[in-house]
Amino acid sequence: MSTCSNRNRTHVYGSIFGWLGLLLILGCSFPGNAYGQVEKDITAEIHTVLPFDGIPAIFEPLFVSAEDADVDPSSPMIGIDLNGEQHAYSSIMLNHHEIVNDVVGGIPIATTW
Amino acid sequence: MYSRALNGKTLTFGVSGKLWKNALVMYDRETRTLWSHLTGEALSGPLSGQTLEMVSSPPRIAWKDWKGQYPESLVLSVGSNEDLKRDVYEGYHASQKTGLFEPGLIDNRVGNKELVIGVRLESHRKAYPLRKSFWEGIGNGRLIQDSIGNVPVLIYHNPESYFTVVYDRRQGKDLQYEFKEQPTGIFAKDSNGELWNLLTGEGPSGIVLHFIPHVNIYWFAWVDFYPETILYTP
Repeated sequence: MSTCSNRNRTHVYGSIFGWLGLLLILGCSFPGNAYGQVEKDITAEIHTVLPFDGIPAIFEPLFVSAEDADVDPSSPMIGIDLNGEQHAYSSIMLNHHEIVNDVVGGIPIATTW
Repeated sequence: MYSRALNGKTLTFGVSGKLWKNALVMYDRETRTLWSHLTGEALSGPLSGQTLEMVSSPPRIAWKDWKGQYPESLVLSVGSNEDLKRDVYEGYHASQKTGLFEPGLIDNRVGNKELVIGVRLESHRKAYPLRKSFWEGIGNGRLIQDSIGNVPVLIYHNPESYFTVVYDRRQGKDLQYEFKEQPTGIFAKDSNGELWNLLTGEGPSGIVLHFIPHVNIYWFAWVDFYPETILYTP
């Protein structure tokens, strides 16, 4: 009996895996509108290359005045002017940190590159 | 650049370590929703379906031109880290590599690793080449007057300053400006001989042109995001 029972269980599991496999194949073969208006699954297109915070964003930016900034005159910058206040970020800094969490002219902004 | 304010709360963004279409995916520390830094859309997580509000700023400008306009500007400090004066992506910019993953689409109208100005206006997507030879071929002092959908636009690029800007040429409902030349620096002259500041959009009598957000982006990435894009041809 126990053998039989095991065999039945194996059979049931086999069927489940079989169905999952079939669904996966159907899912891959008919993306988009196979089942009416199915939204494109963006998460499948997202690739993980580093852990969270593997590149450190800036959360508490520190600033210097334009006079004191040691920046080459021809360096490319990202600049923002909000409510009469201006902040500039070198594109090199943004390449190192990708995101700066900042507040300019009272507006919380994320500078990205 | 985006506002971090959403539904009355302020979000804080970190780097997720993930890529979507070879571009940065941000996450917010409050809900761990994943966000595309190119479109501002929530891709996955509790805030799915939401979009961050873009903040108007030119993608790049040489320090001397920014400082010339805004001498009181603050500058993000590099501290004492000399490494932060070197570009970590130098090798990537110089190479023909398109990213870590194959783009979903290759469009040979422009070289993969050529930079373009990408404009999203209502449902329209339009790209303008950034290569030097293209802009040298544009007469009229580096000004392009074009339309995107029904909106008359002005596109300006200064190769020495990296600076690009896109403006709606309409003021109010009907008045449309025609620009004749770009005599000095970041100023343009309209058909009435009036000067306009192309960094601030300010013209005569306190009129300010409406800034249209745009990106400087590699062509391969732009067409991967927006395969329907129109490419400007003179």
